Amino acid sequence: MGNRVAIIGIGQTHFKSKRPDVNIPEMINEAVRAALADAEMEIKGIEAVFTGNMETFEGVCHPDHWMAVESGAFGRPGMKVGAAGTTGATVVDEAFHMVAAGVCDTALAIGYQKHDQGNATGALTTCCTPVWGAGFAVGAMQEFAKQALTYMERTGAREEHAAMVRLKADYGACRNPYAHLRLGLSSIDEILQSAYLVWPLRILDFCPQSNGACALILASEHVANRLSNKPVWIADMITVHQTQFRAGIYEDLTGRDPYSQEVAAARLYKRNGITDVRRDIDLAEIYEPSNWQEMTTYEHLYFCEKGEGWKMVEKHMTDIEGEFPVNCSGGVIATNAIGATPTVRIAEAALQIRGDAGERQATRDIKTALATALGSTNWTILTLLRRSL
Amino acid sequence: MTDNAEELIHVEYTQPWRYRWSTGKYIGKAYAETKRNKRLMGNRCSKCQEIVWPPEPVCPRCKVPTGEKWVELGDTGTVLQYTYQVMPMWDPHVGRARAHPHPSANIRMDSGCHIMHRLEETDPEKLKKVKRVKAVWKEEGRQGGMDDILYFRAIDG
Amino acid sequence: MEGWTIEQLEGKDVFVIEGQVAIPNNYSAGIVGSRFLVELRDNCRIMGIRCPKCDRCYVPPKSTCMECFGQLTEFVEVGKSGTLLTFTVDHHTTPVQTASPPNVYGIIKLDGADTGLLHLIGEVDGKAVKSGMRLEAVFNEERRGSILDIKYFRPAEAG
Repeated sequence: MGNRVAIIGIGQTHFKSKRPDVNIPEMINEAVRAALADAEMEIKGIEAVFTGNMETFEGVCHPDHWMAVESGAFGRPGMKVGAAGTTGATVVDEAFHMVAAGVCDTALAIGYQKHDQGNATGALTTCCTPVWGAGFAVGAMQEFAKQALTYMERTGAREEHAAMVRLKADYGACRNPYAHLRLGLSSIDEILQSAYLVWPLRILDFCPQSNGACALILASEHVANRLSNKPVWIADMITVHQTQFRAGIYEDLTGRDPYSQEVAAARLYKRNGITDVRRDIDLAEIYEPSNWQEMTTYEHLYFCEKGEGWKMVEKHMTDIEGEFPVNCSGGVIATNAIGATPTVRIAEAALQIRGDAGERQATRDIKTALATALGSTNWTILTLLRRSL
Repeated sequence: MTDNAEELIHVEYTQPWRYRWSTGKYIGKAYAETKRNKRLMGNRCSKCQEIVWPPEPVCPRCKVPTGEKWVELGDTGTVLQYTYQVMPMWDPHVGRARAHPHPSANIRMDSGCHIMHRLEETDPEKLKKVKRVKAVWKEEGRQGGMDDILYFRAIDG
Repeated sequence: MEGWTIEQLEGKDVFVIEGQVAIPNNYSAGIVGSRFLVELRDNCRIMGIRCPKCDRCYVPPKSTCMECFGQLTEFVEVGKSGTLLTFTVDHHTTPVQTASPPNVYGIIKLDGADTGLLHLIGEVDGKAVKSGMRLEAVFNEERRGSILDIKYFRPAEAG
């Protein structure tokens, strides 16, 4: 491992379905200013800047060119990063590596998406080439729908369990002023009555398309200790890639290849001495574009035995007040500005460690937290955060 | 300075991006076989002996050249997963929103390969019982590729 | 398949698929950009934004100062005339051009601005255009809140 790195500034926009009052650079600038204010820093204290989004979603080629001033990248090193759904964590990973390597003492990582400028399903369908797959693909939703069906058939989970996940997410979102969908749902019946999008996924089972940005300021140990009285340490970050499965995008139906989240989690736990996940980690912020995905992710990350993710939900173990809180922020089902989403996962996990999560603060004390990111070709980035190293 | 200070300008546009994609010679072989012979053909890895589908020059697991040992996938298989669209969604290749009438499915072919295709059955209740399926090929107008199969039809046993 | 064509290369088992991807997009100019465009459309005025700290005027206006990262709010009207900083003559045709070639593209520093504005130069032969020449904006009769509400810049009368 390299030098120790801490998060010393956290900023995010209020996520919304429409932002006609700003262009992309202005939207990013809101998050950058918020992160600088949080760190009590000025932009001149930042040495490098990393930005990223799902680039085709806004129909703009090289959006980083337009926002060099507003992102703070003007006159500084850094780069734009593109890694599909994990982009928002990849920008943090890049900044983490730069600071850990001693190349710079401070770095700014920005994930963003302005969904109201495009059509995400249309853009995502172009992931399939015309040679192979196009004409069969309807974006990510179809694969999450198939995953939901398989999960029900294999584990005995029912639609009610997915609805319980959705209700939990809304409970968190309603306590998170930055969340996009804050519906005030009161029962699972409301969710079970919402219309089907792609069977068996309902409108309320799937994430919205949000606009917003999230910025994190990372610093080396001596700078963090000098500038911040509550640094959150990045204990580890891990990336695992995977090829497209021949069957099942979010799970390998051939039963041969372990899923990238499982590989990443096993390696991360091993090299950080985590032997009992729910004892050694206090909270998780996971990337779950659908409520079904949340239950399978519990299993992929070894929060429970295989096939038992829905039981954790049924027992309310992952509620804000629960013994192992997951997505107190309302998660991705409530807010999904894709390029920003993994950055928000890390930001929210860090806020929980600082005790600065306001009404969405977990009941138990959070010293160690895990944040996940998930990309289109099944690659995974995990981030392990600690209050002290 | 102006009465319209609060007006927000917003521009809508659709800018078509032209493409010319080549299949390359491995997927090209698969295209030629569907077009000429109504056959799904994959290539077998020289090391692990698995069928690679869609055919590729390198085995994704062994990372060795697969070569050109061509194998038929056959026409029959078992449905593992399926879903159907209820809401129309944007299809960038046709430039409009649509809901495809036939359900999408992941199918395990009897040869062991997994493919994504569509099912003939559209009734949600009857779909639940569809397990064993067989490819229904276009008799006329095959151009190469997976669209030479119309859909998969439910069969007994 | 609807939306594309498939062609087999002669004598080979290789195919080429031709078509297009079309996704509906849109662009929000935001509060600062909208102010610029609305002034062009309604009042034929070209607005810049000034950083009081750096004494620098940006045209088109932007919300953050390049130099001090300050948030900018002070709109100022700049001149409809300016000086040509540099230019090029474009002779080839692409599907995304708004005017047919040859087009003269110039970067113009308007009077009162500290930045260059990219626009078309008209009413002059490409061979007669010179860096440093004085230009003035010609507005379209029908304007819709676009940078093309300025039809082009033409050589200004002497004086």
